[in-house]
Amino acid sequence: MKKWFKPAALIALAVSLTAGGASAASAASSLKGKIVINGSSALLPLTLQAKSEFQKLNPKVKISASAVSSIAGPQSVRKGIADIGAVDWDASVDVPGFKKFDGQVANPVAVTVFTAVVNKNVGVTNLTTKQLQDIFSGKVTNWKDVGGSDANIVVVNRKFGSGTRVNFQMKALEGKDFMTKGDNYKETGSSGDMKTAIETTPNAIGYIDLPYVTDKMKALSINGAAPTEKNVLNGTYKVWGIGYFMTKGKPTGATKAFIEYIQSAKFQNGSLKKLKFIPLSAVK
Amino acid sequence: MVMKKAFAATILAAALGTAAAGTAGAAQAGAAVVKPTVKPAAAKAEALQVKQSVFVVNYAEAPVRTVLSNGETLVSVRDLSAALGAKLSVLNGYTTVTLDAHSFAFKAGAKQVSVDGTVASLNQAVKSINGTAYVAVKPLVQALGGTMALKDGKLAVNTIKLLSGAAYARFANAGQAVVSVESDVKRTDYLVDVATGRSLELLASEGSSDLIVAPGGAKAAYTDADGAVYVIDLASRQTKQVSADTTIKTELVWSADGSAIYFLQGDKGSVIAKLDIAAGTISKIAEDKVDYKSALSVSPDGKKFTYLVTTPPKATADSADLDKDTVDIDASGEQVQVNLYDASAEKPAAVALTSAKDDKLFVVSPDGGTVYYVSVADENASAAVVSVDKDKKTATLFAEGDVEELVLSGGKLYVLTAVNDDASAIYEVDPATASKKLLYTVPASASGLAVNGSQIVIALEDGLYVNASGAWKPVTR
Repeated sequence: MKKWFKPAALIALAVSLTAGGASAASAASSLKGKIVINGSSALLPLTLQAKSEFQKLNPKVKISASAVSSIAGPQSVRKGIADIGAVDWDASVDVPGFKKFDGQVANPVAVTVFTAVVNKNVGVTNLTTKQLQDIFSGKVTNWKDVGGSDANIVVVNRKFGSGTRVNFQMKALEGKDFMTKGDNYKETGSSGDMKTAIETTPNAIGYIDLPYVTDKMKALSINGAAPTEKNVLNGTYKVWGIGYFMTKGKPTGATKAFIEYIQSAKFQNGSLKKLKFIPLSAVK
Repeated sequence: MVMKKAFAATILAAALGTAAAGTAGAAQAGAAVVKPTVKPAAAKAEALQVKQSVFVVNYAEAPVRTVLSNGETLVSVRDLSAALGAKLSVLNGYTTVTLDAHSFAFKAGAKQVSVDGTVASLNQAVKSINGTAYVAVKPLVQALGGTMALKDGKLAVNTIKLLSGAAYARFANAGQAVVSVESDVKRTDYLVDVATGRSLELLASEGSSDLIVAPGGAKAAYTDADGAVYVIDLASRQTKQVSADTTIKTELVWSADGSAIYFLQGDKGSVIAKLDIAAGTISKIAEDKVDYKSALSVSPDGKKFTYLVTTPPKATADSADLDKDTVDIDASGEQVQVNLYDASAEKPAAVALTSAKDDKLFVVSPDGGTVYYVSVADENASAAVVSVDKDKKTATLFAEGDVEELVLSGGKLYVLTAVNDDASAIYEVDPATASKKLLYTVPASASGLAVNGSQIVIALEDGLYVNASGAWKPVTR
């Protein structure tokens, strides 16, 4: 990746500089190419942060990153319109609701924490697994039945194909089905849409990955455990999953270098944690 | 060590002073000298010729007087101590050289010496010539924890253990730089004297952001993994939390006077916010629901904000029939543009200054009025430094070679650009006149350009280097 290094070639010339301080972090690289990434909206902020840093090291690598849903990630790779499919589960094996994508390699990139979220007007701060199952199946429809005020619950779900939905159903609802229709039921197409829906809909409950949580919503504890890295690592908070970059076969060239950058200690312990993901090494 | 342990001798726990060589010093605890138990060897009449030599001491050339005696090179203790920055003290005829945790005590005419309080014996007695003490160089250097090597015909003496594994530097003050060493689980930040390579640990952390050095270089800011903001005093190395707010802060930018920290807030960097350090309060500057802001710059008056906005491609998918792969990506609207937000305007609103679909890297703006960046049109085109002003007028400012990095320092731009497969060059560019001056030609692997006044640090494959006396001297390895 680095250009050829010739230590003997240090040549000093005249210098005349001015006062002040600045710095830049980079590494000259001759790596070239274009990487197209599509898939999970939960992973998009992470992908774009990594893109920004990686391109300073590799200016001639163009990275085009978009998101719609997790399932679209490996689909994009299979269709040949993306080099990397970002997905919130290992799409190289069967998971409930989704068959594996043959010939694709799952490259782990981050641990994502998912959390139940409510509009700020909701007084509830903790729900049990059973209460979540009852709410998201439509069995419980009023907040007063789970310790809140007398108000109808608005359930906001992600559309089928969402990796956040897959993880939340598997781990928060322990496999129980979602309701699919009703006056107080709506579906959103992305994490960003979910964020907006929860922020702007009184009495709403939904779920989202931790980086999307804002001060205009509340993240709920589940079974008494708050959605924090500490609680993931001590085993009390179960609703988390590993995000993957799916590739057609083993990654090569610029794609391989980009995945390696995201997996590097610098990124995992720096920007990745800053964005409230958990490093892969923490859950090994 | 070439010195061998000699006979038993009584060690005096003497208190030695810190005065210069040849002068009596004030008391200093912790050093030790050897009580003479044998008479110094009688001075043998020999014609010793003092030679003015040049050593490379801790990577810098230094004049050192030497004599050759019995096949050994003896060195002026005063000269070598001065070059090493070692302290000399004299008490009761004994001179002690102290460097870091090491001491070397001797008496003119004697073979016995004390190394870190333990008696040892030299091959030949310490010589005194015209009032200057000469000691065999090798045991002296080794006693002080140093190493010796022959480099380009000169004796290279190193007593500083250079930091290893540092990736890049950002200058602090007075020739000091903050460097970071990453491990699998944590990052350790050090303050390094770029002239000597001496380093002090500043901060060991897990999940903290990079240290962002304030203007003036006296302090630096960072966020922990939760998003709380801390400021570290680089002189005292004391850290203070200045905000417990745990929202995601993707970038920190100091105000010109060091009283505030601006930052991009949220996982998508949607909000421009300001943290007043003294009050600990956070206020929102711009919340326009435009996602994926990055590369924030703030004008010295805190009124103008320039930044990049990334618009991702639009992806669509119909998840009704998964086997049909109805997913599609429309990249026609994908772009990265420079935006300006003038908070002093009557109705502040972000304005896109650029419209070209090139990649824009290393964005800097000295005044909020003009923005400079490295423009990469495509993988086969040479990258160039482009400017855009508040009236959206763009111009190519620098197009020598294939630009790799751009930094702003003291109102000047510094450009690292690839010249060919073997070499890159560092230029200084005056943004006002577009005049450029070639400063250095460096290996093609050079990266991590950092500039502060006349000092430039670059990263090569085996460490960080600083320009010094017309050459590049290692700062880390």
